[in-house]
Amino acid sequence: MAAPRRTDLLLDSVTRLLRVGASANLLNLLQKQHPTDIAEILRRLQPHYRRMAFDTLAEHNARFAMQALSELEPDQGAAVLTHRPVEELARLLGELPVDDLAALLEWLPDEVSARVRDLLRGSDQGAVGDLLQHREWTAGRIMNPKVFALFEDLTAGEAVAALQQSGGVEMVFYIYVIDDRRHLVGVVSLRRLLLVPPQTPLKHIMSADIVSVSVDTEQEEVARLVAKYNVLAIPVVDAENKLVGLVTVDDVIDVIKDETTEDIQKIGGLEALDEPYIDTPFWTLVKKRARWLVVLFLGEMLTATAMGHYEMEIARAAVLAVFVPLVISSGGNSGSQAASLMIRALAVGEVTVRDWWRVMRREVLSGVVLGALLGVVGFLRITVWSQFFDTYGEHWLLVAVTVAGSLVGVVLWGTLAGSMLPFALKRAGVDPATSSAPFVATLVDVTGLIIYFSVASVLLKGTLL
Amino acid sequence: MAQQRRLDLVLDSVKRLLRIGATANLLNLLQKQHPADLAQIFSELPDKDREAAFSLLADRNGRLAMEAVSELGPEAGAGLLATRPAEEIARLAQEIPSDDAAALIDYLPEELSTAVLDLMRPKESGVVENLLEYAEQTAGRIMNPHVFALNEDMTVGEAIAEIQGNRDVEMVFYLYVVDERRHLVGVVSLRRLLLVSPETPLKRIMTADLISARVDMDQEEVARLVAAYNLLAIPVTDEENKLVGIITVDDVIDVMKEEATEDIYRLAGVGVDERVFTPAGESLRKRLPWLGVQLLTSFAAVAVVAVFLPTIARVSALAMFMPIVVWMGGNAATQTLTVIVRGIALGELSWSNSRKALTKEILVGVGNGVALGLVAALVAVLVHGDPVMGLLLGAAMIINLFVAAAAGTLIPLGLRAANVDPALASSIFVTAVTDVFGFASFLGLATLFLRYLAQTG
Repeated sequence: MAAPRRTDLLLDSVTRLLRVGASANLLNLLQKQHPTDIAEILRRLQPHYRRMAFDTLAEHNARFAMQALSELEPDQGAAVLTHRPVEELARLLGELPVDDLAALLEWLPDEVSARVRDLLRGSDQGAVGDLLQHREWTAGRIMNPKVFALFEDLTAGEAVAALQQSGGVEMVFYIYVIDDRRHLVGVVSLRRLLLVPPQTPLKHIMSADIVSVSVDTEQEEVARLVAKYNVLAIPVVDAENKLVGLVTVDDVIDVIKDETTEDIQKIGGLEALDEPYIDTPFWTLVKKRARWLVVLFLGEMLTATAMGHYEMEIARAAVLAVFVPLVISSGGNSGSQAASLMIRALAVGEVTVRDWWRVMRREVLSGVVLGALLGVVGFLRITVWSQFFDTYGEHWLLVAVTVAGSLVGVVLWGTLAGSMLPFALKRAGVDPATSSAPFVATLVDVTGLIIYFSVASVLLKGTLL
Repeated sequence: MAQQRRLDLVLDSVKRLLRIGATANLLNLLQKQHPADLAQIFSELPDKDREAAFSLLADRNGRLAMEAVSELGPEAGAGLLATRPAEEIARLAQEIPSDDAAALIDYLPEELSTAVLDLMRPKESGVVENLLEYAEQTAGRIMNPHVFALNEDMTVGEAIAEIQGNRDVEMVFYLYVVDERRHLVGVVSLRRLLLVSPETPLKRIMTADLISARVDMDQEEVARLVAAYNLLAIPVTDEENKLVGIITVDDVIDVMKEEATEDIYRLAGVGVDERVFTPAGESLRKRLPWLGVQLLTSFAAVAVVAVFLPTIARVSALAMFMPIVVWMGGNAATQTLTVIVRGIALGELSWSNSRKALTKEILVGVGNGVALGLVAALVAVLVHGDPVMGLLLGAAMIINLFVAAAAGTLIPLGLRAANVDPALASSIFVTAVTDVFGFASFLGLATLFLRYLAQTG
């Protein structure tokens, strides 16, 4: 954990320098840092200090300041910028690669961003417009449209020369090869270029078998392909297979992080937060959770209704109430386990909707065995307890059988519901992560109660009931 | 999903060719696939076909076969390898980078892996054994020890010549620069080399301020560094700052996926190594302990309810409403737990800003508790017709959501401080706490105010 400690120290110095207004020293200190570290410091400063620190840096080294800013979440970065005049905004934003520029623009207030767009350099203006016309969460939206590509007729020597003149292009790892109408036809690695004689035509050394995505491919799918094929960048083509952009691995890592966080939060039964936890305002946090809690709550009111039907039984045999939580939470827990497994498997592409039958057969089997094992434990617990105490009355054996039998039914049902719900949602075109653990638990709670009391009314008829 | 459709077609052809025994055609087809696609094909074939296809390919094109096997993941990959004799495994293992080989060999049955290590070329097996000595899930374990390094006194021209002579090294994008005792002193990008004149000394163009990982750094921390600094690879050094390996971004992506899966499973109390198609018996063994522990903790809840049994006997409607208090507590706690655990995993949250998080969580908990408590009270009055019941229900919900927020924040942070993975046991403890407090607060209040409640019979 060496890195965080370093930024802790740095943060202290920056705060001190800001407080005494030593802007020359501050500038000196900041310019020595990595943009990522500056972003980390900006993130942790109070908003007005954050703005001050950024202003100091932006005045002397606009590109560097903007690089740091683009490492922040885009909404946070935009918040630091908004108070500036549009001319200056346009100048600052012009320092960034087009994909980062577009991300920040989107978070500026509408009228500001429209005026800034008018003031951008001509080439940036067109490129930003192109990016923003693609749907959110697609390759077209996150790609960098400045991609280094060469004609197939060039030689390796000419390619190296072209590369040496390409100052402004972001991270070149692969050289994409295009034909005269800009169709993507192949790829050459930078290293390969160095290994062949300079007069070799690119056509002969390129690999024609190339993994690409189209502009409307979902970003999650882009991430999956990059991870699967271990590539550092993936080219983006339009409907006619023309090369229009590039998604690099660092952007893919951000996508993976965001999508994972979103999944985990949905599984935990809240709407995805769009910002880091610590920066999420209090009321947003309440809102993101309250909706689900209310829905679940209404679902659980059904349990009260279900219990209402069994009020007679409970009045006659209060001992039944004692085991309600036990039976039901076992069902809920086994349901959450199964749901989490399926959601993750669907997310990383280990199973597809077609596999539902295969999954179901296995889960039925696991459900029965798990339920039986828990049933045995529950049975033993009641039996042993009843040898010493009289909590469960004279019919403890029947109570034990009821609890054990219900556990089998409830756990089986929980496992089955938990594993199949994500498939059903996926099939219906809904994100499977929506079938969150609490959602599954609630579903199983209500039905589990019915199972429990049905078993009880059959087994205890004539004795307790 | 053109990719998927193409793979389905290939899969069908592979099955057909295996059935009619057309080995030449089959080999031809397999050799045209990308290792990642081959891995997917292998994983979807029935066991017997998979072994047949693998052994066919391994005889002809060992490297491709092994690349596919390591894409399968160490567990499944080792399972496939274990069907071959030790001599052949040793030969095949030398076809892939040693970090990948080490990961596979680690998962082979004990005596087989020893035999394989004995049979490998002494140099290779030494490298693999060294890797296996580092603790699991550390930088040392996942790094590739074949790292391309250049001496600081070289010129750019000499460096390029050196690269041209070294075709075997994995993904060279950064060239690490070392001094004569192999201490890491700087880095140059491949592109930079092409942009300056050949006589320039490396020392002059290298960046001395570079980010590296120590061999004992946790792999999650390595992933965080690579993600934060947008790196393509990170050099690994030993305690004397000597360059000993490299971790490339593709391995980091695997780490991120693995760690995310681990967190998600642990939050739900599922064993970490489980996948959808893990054999049923094994799945059982992995899930049962958690369910068992949860069953035991729910006996604590049972004990609490048992204390209040006389109260329930007098007011049976209490049984009707008590699960609500407990489940709402459990749900709210799961929400809190989820954001806190993810916050810790992403490095957003630590002890230093935990007080802020706790205050916020408690406010959110009480806020939600008041809102839901009001609704609950109203519904109870409407359904049951007893205003006192509604009041008690509302009060108990506020108490339990407060408890849920505190437990959901403090338990994962506490586990983290005690160096236990916060995703691991949090959910069990947290739900145990909300269960016990939920029943205790609701039934306790009911006992206190028993004489105001409408009693049964």
